[in-house]
Amino acid sequence: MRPIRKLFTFVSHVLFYFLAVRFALHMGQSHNLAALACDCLILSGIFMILASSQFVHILRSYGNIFTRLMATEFLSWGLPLSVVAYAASDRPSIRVISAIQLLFWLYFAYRYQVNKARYEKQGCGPVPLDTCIKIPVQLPRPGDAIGTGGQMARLLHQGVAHTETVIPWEGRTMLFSSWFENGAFLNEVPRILKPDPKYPNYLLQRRPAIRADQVELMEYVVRSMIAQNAAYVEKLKAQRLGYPAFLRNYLDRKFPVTGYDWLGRYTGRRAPDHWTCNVVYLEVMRRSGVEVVRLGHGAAGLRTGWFDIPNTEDLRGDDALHLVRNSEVPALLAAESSNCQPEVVSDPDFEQQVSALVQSCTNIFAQRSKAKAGPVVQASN
Amino acid sequence: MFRFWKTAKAVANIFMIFATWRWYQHGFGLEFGLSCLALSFMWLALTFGQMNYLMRSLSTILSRVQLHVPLWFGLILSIVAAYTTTEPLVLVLSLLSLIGWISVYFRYRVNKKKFEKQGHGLLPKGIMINPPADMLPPGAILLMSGMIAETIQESVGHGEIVIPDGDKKWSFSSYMKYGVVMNPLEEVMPRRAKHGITVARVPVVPWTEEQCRHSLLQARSMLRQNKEWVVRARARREHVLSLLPLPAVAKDLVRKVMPITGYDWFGLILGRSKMNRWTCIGSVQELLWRMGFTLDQYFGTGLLGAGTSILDPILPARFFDLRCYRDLTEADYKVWLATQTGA
Repeated sequence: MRPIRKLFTFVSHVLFYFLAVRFALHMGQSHNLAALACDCLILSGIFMILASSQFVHILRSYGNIFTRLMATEFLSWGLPLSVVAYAASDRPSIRVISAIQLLFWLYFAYRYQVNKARYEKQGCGPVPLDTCIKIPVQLPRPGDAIGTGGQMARLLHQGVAHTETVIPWEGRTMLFSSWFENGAFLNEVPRILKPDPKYPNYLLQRRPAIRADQVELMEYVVRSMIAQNAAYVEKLKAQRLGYPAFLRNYLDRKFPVTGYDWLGRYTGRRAPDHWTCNVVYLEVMRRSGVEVVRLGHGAAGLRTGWFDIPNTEDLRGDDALHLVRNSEVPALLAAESSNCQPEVVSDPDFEQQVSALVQSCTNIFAQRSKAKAGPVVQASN
Repeated sequence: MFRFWKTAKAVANIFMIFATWRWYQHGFGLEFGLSCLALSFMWLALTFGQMNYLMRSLSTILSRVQLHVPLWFGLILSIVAAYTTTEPLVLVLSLLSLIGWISVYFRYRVNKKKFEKQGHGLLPKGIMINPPADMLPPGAILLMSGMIAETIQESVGHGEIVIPDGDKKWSFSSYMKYGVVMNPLEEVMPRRAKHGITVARVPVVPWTEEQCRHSLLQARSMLRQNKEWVVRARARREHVLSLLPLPAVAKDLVRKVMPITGYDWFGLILGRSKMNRWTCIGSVQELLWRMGFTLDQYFGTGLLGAGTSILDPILPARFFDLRCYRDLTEADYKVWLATQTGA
């Protein structure tokens, strides 16, 4: 659904601005009030359809700067356009439709304001009320994501805008991410989770927790990613040595070879050996066989990986990632201290079916001969 | 860079098709001989531009088409230009163009000697056909003939990868009938040898112990992920079918015509890479990606290399073009045989 939503948003925007320019040019020549009302009605209608189709998404992802910008765009165009359509026309049908549109925009603004009250400002932007921003270091477990504030959050006016991936590492829990200065980088949990009012953190806990085999695989994945990133850095440094000095100096100043994906920061692409912090999370999960929300589809949702920056806030669109609230922390800590294994919800019937299929597809030749031999055995019995 | 060049080549080819059509319709508004010459030179420039790639990838039918069509068309255009023109300069240039095309042809002939016909297409000369299972190192990519190879007129149309498991070796792939499978390599190779051709490409840098263990965990994880998807997809479809007022025969027909096996039927045409279902060679590429191998090129990036995964099926024959892998040759076989005898 995500790519379809993006495609719809993109096409609607192109259509809106194309028609807006066309109507404006046409209006400059004709000065016809009835036509103006009609044009405003059409333009407001396009955004009304778009806003109504994304109503829930807009309200849910208020923390994301791009959603807030889109909501502001809808309101700042939709409201005046429907007012102009109402005022400029004397035809009852147009007046009725524009009145409906006006009511819709007022309702949209009201719901948006009500929703705003469910958030509080932490650091540089809004996070949902009661979000646990001082995460106890015992809580994170492999597969979870930690959103943190910082430079990107300040730039984007969000509460958090950097992602750290919780991974198992040599018997401990560590954090893995990609930093501007270091590229793919391991961190101690307490270093990132130290309480700091300037940089709030939140924990997106994977529920159900990932399986033991996935945890085991994750460590291999992270080790291979670190090696892959180091090889990329080495290769790129060698490549830059061949560039003219002025170009090399410029690139080293603007885009230092650290292993961070500078281009991906703006495009949202998924490169094989260098990543942004959010793409690291998506890559670690995908490579560890954990199904995760697919982000960075690219403009128009066409999977081009262009102009579609994966944002930490977008991870909340993953149904398996649960934002930990303050009220939940005591229970979670109690479970942790009593050394309870994380709950892995699984349907026995589902597990049985999966196991049977796995079995049947491991050495299909043996299965085939067994199937052939089956009736003979029965007959001999 | 791979995607950049892919995009550039695709755009140039589309432009040339458009230019040829314009030439056919309007002749560029030039004298006939001159317009033939202009078009011939444009095709020649494009062919020279992608010559190395085309020569390397003669195993794929698309490369052969990209070479043959401009070659014969360009030859005819140059001859027509030389024959119809009255201008001495155009005549000289058309002779030059003719020489250019003849040089392309000779280069093609010389390069073709590096390939031999096997099955329905070409294979690099000296490559070991149906190598024994014991000879295959961990991570070897097996390219095999079969139904798809026959359809697309190539020698190979199916791919698998060797996964080590202690003393045992598995062959990992995705089959249309079963989805993702892991079969004992010593059973796969003789069976395949009975029905067709199998060739192998082996990693230039042998896999480490860590990579061997990682590959086994990845293969098991992908197998499980694929089967989880199958169970969920089947349940979802049964639910939808139960809601539809259709006779049982129609429901059975749907199940038969569109079986959910774990194979990525859309991916066969599109070349997309999903999280939990793959085509045969798609599963090999995904496994290598997950293991952290930076291949020098990733296939299935989509039409124009734009990442859309549209109309760009991952063809097994393209894996001959991977430079981080090398062909397993008859010479390797002789060395291996000598080692075995010595042992």
